[in-house]
Amino acid sequence: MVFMGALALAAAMMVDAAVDRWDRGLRGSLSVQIPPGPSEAAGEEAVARVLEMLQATPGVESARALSREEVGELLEPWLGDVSQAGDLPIPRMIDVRVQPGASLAVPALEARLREVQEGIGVDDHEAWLQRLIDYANAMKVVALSVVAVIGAVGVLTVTFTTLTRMSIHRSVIDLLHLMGATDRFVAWQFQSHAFRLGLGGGILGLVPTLLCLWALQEASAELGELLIPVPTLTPTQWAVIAALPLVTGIVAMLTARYTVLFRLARMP
Amino acid sequence: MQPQFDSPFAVTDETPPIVEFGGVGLRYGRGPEVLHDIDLALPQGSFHFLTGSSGAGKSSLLGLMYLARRPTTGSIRMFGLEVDRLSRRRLPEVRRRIGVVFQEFRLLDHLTALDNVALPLRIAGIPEVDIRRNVTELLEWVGLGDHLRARPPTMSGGQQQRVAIARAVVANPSLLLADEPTGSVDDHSAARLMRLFEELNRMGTTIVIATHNRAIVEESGHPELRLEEGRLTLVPGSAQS
Repeated sequence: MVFMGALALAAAMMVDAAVDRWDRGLRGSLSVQIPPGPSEAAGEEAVARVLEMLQATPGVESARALSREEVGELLEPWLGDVSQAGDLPIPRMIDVRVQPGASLAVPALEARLREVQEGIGVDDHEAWLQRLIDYANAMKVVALSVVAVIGAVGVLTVTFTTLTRMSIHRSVIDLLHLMGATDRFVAWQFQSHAFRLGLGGGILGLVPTLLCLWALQEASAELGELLIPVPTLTPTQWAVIAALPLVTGIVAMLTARYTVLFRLARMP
Repeated sequence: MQPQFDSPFAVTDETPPIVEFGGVGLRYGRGPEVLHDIDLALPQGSFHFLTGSSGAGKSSLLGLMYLARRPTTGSIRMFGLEVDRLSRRRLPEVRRRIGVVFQEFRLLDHLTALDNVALPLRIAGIPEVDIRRNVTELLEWVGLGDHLRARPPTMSGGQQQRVAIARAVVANPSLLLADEPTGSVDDHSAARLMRLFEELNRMGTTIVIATHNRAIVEESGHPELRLEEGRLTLVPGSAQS
């Protein structure tokens, strides 16, 4: 259960980190796409005028035209090496950084830029980024739900195991009770056992989890940053995963403790 | 030498009878009443035998004294406290003042003799260093100094009984209850056990022993609490008459 729970938790944290990276990377930026002009000179002139207009626009921090090589690299996953296709009409791209806190009216900006050349498009990434974030958040909720279900099953398992152990050791509990043991003393016998089992089981579950996460990172690192972000965990997130056996032990301990206390309250 | 520990209950000259039953009745569930209208008062330092035929209610009466159950009717005062009205939270401190020798010993088979005897002290939170010293002394006192590490299944009935007695007295209880302690031992061992109880009584422990053994009752001369069909009568001992 710790293995499955840890993997689900790691998945949730990876998705969360990826969403955060996308959000931080793309918010506050615009992409301006200029369709290929009738000639290269006309295209260069359009790029220069658009850059000039952008730099004069309030709220724009910087605007930089991407070289043909940079655009080619962006298109490479879909079109291959475009440098070999000299006659291929490739649009020009301008990367715009917006000042922090500033808000640009994208439709109005697009309309103004289209006065330079028909077909110019401005993309603030908002629409697709929001859909991507919504999808990622849904995945995160699913992963956390899996963690919650596994946690609930774990708590129920400890509860029923504790009740079974109490039945098995009923005579010992009665004896301790008659000797003047408090409920807390009796509960301690069960909770310390539950803690040791939870901690040990947690460590056993953590080892394959760490191996899986390491293998996943190794495999995804080979993909590079081309299509999907490499799933990574921050040091804090690694610490959270590493602390799971302790958390498991504590949850098992508290579950056993309150199960015993609840059951003992029925004794005279 | 019996180990001594500080008791939270200071005993003074004004200390009331250590056990007082007033009109106590007991029934199990909706069954018939097994104890009827029991009145008794056990002075501190007294020694009583509890007698009666099988099914007369001896174990039920002892069970009320060691607070295993609460009476159906009437009231019980122990150590000056209305224990039948005491909250669950306060009962453990009262139970720690009572030592019980169960008929079937109820030793824990997975523990050594030393650890079995140490249980009441661990429950009371006594430091381990004191526990070890006192338990060792006590097991030597009952003649089991060379059986500290023995586990109950490897011991004879008489040895187990002495472990059970040591466990009952290790925390220096004010009241010692024993249910048929001589029931499964020979006459020689029974006489030895009685000498142990007499010695504890001389040290101030109030003792109640449930027994079928008429010989030890008559020989000792202590008063007798006789139960017949759930009703109690006090028969003075020969030492008092």
